[in-house]
Amino acid sequence: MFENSHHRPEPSSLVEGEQIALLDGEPMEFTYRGKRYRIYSVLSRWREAGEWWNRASDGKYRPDDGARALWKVEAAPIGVMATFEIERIDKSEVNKDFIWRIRPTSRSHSLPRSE
Amino acid sequence: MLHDQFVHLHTVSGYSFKYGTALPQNLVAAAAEKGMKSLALTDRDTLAGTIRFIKAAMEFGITPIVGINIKLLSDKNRVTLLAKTDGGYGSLVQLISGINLKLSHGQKPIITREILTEFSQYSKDLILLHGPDSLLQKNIWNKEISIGKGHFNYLKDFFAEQFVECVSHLDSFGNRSTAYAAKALSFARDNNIPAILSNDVRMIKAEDAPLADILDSSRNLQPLHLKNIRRKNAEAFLKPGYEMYKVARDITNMAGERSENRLLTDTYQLAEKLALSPVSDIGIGEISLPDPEMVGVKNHREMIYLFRQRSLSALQSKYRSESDYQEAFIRLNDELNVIRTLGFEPYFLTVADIVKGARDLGIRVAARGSGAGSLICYLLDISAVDPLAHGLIMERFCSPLRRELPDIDIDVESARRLEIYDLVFQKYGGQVATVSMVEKYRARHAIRDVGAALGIAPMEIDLIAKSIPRVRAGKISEVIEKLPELRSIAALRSSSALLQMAVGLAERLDSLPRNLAMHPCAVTLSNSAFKTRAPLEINASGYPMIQFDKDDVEDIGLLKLDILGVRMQSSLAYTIAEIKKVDNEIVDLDKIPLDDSKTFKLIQSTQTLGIFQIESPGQRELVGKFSPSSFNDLIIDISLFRPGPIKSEMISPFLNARHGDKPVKLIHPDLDKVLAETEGVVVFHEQVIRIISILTGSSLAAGDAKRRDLGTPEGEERVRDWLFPAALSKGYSRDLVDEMWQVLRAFASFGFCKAHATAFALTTYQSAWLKAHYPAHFLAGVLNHDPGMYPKRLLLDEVRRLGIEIKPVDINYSDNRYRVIKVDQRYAIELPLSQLHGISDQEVESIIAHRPYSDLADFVYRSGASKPISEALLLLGAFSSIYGEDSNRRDLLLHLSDIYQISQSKDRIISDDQMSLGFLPEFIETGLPNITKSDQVKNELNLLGMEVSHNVIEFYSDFLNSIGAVKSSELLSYRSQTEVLVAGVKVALQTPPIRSGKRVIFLTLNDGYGCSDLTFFEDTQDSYAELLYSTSLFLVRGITRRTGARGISIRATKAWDLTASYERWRTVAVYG
Repeated sequence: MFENSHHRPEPSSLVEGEQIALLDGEPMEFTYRGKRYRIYSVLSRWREAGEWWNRASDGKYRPDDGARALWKVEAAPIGVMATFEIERIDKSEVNKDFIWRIRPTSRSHSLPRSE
Repeated sequence: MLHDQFVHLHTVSGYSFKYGTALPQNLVAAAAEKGMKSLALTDRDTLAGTIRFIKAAMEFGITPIVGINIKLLSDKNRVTLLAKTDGGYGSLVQLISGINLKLSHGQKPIITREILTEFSQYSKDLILLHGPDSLLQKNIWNKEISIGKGHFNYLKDFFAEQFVECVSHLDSFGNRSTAYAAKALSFARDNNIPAILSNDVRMIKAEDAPLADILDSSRNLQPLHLKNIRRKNAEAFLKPGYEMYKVARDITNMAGERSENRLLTDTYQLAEKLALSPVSDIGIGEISLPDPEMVGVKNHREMIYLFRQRSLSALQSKYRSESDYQEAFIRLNDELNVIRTLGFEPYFLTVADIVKGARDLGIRVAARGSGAGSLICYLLDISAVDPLAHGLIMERFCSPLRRELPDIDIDVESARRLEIYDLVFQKYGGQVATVSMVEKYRARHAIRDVGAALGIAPMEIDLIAKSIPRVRAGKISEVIEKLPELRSIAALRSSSALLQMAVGLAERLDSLPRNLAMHPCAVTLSNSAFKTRAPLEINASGYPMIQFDKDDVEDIGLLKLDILGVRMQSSLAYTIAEIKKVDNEIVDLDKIPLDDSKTFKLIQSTQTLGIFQIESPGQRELVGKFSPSSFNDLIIDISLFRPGPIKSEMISPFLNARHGDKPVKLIHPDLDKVLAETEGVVVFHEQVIRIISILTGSSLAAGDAKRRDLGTPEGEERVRDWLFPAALSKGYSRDLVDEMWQVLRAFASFGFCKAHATAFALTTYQSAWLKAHYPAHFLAGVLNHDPGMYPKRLLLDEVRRLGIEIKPVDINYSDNRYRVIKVDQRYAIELPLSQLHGISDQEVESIIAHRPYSDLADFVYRSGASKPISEALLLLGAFSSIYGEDSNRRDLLLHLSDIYQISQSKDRIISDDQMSLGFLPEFIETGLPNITKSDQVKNELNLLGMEVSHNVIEFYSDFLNSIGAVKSSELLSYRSQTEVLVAGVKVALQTPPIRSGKRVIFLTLNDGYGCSDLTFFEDTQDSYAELLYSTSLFLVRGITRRTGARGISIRATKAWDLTASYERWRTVAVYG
């Protein structure tokens, strides 16, 4: 699906002004309801103009006063995502039996943001 | 890095009228600043910005690409066409001209199927970009894949190559969203169509977005609201490469592509195929002369022969004495050689042909400008000025050292200018075109458009727009703060935040093009190369017009001829025709002697109203001081009355020397012959050229080159370093060279081209001569064609002052023009029916066609005049030839209304028979008093816009006498420094530039006895400026100042509205 869904978050779940970490002007991490989130992928980003002509109280116009930039992202709390190594060992050629081994490989239990 | 190489292939400038927000040169400068190597200009529907763009690209080292954004196949879909290197541009120009010449003025070009078929040889040189507004991308988005493919395949035959143009303005939805672009990209990849990235650029910086909103609002005539602004955000700006890289990444990511590299590389590689050469593709710096065929010869050799022959045969008839002939012959050879070197023969011949064609139609033509300095122009009858008799030189006009093209200007009768255009287009068809003129945002338009967009009350906007002088939009704040007459506007502004914002925005619209209009006089003359260089459209008058302006046209070397419509030429033609008609005398203005004493006596009297160039208050003051007594004096007078000389103290030293107050300072015998005619003061460019040439022994052409160099500080230094050694080595003393250098430095830039002044002076003299010898005929001509600065009411006053009778409008006699009639050997001027406000041309025609009329009823039934017009005519006394001058107009009005009642009851159709059978209402004398004289004048002012029977000031005469006001005709008997009161109607209000740089307001009042000239300096402007601009009848107190034997001016100290003062006086007189 290419189309951006245009739904706004429910007001109850809107949290303003919590810390956002940026990389090259783009959001990278943010805090939401006390939890730190990492952005794993930007699904889409877009921008919207403001109504500058309605903000003339002091006689100066500020171009794009009130303009918004928006990002739709996939994010998860830091520490939740981890990398593992999954190993399959073929036990014998006769009965086609496997042995599975799983071991965590990320020390911090978090991954760098995928590019 | 790839993003360092990004090239914007879709960029519009302000030449996309009321859409683009940046001038092409500013876009180029911004691109260069961002490190871009190349940039495309793809304006909507026009190529008008091309030359500005190319020149800026040359200056900033940017490789230019040119294209156009245009409708394809339907009104709703737009694509971008780009010109390929080597020939693409010429094809683009021919395609656009081809489309436009099939349209009428104002229609937007659209590429239809028929156009594609007819002009495929041009479109095949062009690249087609299917951008976000294209039908193809719409099909893709709507999943009409097979329709899209069909469309694409159909276009394959007509274009060199097609691309999908991906644009994301990071809109959340719609055709400039990332999703839309990604879908288009996927389609391109699936179908093996190349794709590129652009940003559909509309502005330089994101901060310019409000300008785009204002333009959208003004274009669509809607106030600003999110609903009707076009943009969703401010992303359509000239993004630097690294930001475009991010956009590419977004689009390719969403399209599921592994990397953005392919999209960016393809964009860059397309740009490389589109690089244009300013010289070989666009034609910058080239010269396109008319082909020999245009002047009716087969080849170049024949043309040169013809040129020489025509000049030589004219030489014999124009220079009869042996010595004159010898001098002229030598001069002719020099000029022929120069023109030969430059190859300009076809230009001169074409212009001569056009001038001859115009004269054959009986249209008056006069040369103007530096061209009058050329003997060949005189010999080919382009100019009537003999350059040898007036010491004019050709090098000021045309020399091998001048880089500009020679520019011949001709003045023709304004009323018949289009006849000459028709002649030119008929004769030279596809090789000529009119030139455009870019109308730019100036203060008034800017404030109107911004005000409307912001929803400010129309009344308020109108008030501001009308009060602001005609300055550029960038100066609105400055004039509001500075001018005393705008004080109330300044108060209004500081009281409203919205208004402050409006002014701020309006100033930012400064210099943005609004519209392409026809240049009022320029026509280009060129050859077959013209087709590939000059994009055409049809202008409002229906002529083909190049989308380039005067400067652009010069940059690409198209020769042009300026055909200026001059109302004075129409006046002169009319005067001569009236003389022939009334007195059966034939006047040939080109043959009148240039030393007529009656003419100079008239000029010296300063009664110069109506005379070309010397009728303004300032000129009358100068003429009064100067007392010109020869034709050469007139040339000097016209040259002196200019901002330069006035600012630079040239006038006083000259006048002092002329009147013998200070003796002429002789510098050196070699230079005296050059300076003697102007009393040792440098007035003319030609003198500067000659002095440089004499001092250094160089040619006049070199002298002219150095003169032009003196215009800049660096040039001045260069000339000094060259001139000093050269002059010293010629044996001139250090002191002399020093002194002359000071003179040259001071006056070179302020001097005036004598050839130009001479051409003007000739018309000045001719008009003065006619006014001196045939005043009634002359003023009739001036009244008809309105060539000057004064309103008709003042001209009518001049008629009265000269003792010429004014015949009021009469239904049985008046024509559609001011006519001269002769009654008992005396002349009178008859007012025309057409002067009546609100009368239509058809009514005038019909009234004239059906006369004579025997009575009012007859007029009502047969004349075709409407009821209000019949009433107005009656009130003016236009039925005097039937009912007598003293007939009671109130009774006649009642009679008129009876007639209308009856005619309506009979279904308005009454035949002549019925009238004689007594259906007519009777004319009854009611005994009511007739209208008064002052009512009569009121009617005249209302209906004609001027008073005929009495000057309006006459009604204030009791008041003016009682307070001791002075008649303008008596002012000359007052000494300097006397306090006087004067009154009158405002006839002129000017603020010309003056030496000190301080602002002075000049007011001219007319009181029926003549004019008085008043000066308001800065100390009085504070109190009276607003009054001066808002009132028309004045009473002014001031101090007299003698300016010469015949000149007096008044320094105003107080001013009142005359009607208000009069009311106060009357009340006081009655009750006090």
